[in-house]
Amino acid sequence: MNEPQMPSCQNVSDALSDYLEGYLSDRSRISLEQHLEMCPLCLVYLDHFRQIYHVTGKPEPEQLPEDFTDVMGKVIRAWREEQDSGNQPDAD
Amino acid sequence: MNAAHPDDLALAQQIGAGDEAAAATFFTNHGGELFGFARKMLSDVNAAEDVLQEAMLGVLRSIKKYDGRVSLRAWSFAILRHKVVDQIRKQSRDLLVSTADPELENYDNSGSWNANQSIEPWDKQAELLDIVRYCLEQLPHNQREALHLRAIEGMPALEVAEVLEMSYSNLRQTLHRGRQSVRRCTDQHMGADS
Repeated sequence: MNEPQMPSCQNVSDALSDYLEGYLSDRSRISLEQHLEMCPLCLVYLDHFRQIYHVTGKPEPEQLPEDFTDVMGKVIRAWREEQDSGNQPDAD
Repeated sequence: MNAAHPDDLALAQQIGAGDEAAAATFFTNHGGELFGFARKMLSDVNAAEDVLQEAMLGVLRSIKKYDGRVSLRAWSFAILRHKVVDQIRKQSRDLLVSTADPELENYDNSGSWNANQSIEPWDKQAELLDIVRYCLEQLPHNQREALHLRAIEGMPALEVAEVLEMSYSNLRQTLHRGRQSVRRCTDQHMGADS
């Protein structure tokens, strides 16, 4: 089997999301990791990406509107009234 | 066709039959994340509240059309997203959509980093979260909504593609461009004197 061709820095940076998501084939992953071993700039770039990936994956505290329960109740009642009256507008 | 989400389909049928308690439970469980998405996309709490209300009504009005192909959660996000886009258009704001790759100028003809390219490790870890959140808000609309659903809500990529009505490969590219933009913006702020 042929050795995987070494990707360029541009190829590596283009593939980093797929790398972090685990979407790369074994062959592509191995050649990307071989490039990273020899390229300090790409390694720092990957570290930036990892940090972005980690931070954006942190859920933010959920905040509902204060009157959410009231509003939800009104919405449900309005829908039931539409159903009871047979008047059902399009959803969109 | 077998539903991929039979439990959700059963819940939708229950709601469609008029079970108000089931509807209330669904909205109580998912209202926070739906509202969070609307807030992030609209940056206006009052508009986000209005859009959430319209989306909940839209979900109820369409519930009998739900077929279980995607999760009820993702299906509700799709309805909300339409309301958000309508709201942005009502405000006569442009839906900033970008497919550009501003990273291209970083490389030479062989695809290697330019000789003068410098990429330094980030050392302001305490500020990273705030800076990244700020940078997320600066993204074009299409990248912001893709990253919000995939990264923050943790929605499976295939469902995000359904919600955003784009192909899976287009979604992957949009997510990558968004992460590149956030990285570039974060890098600029990490380097700034505080």
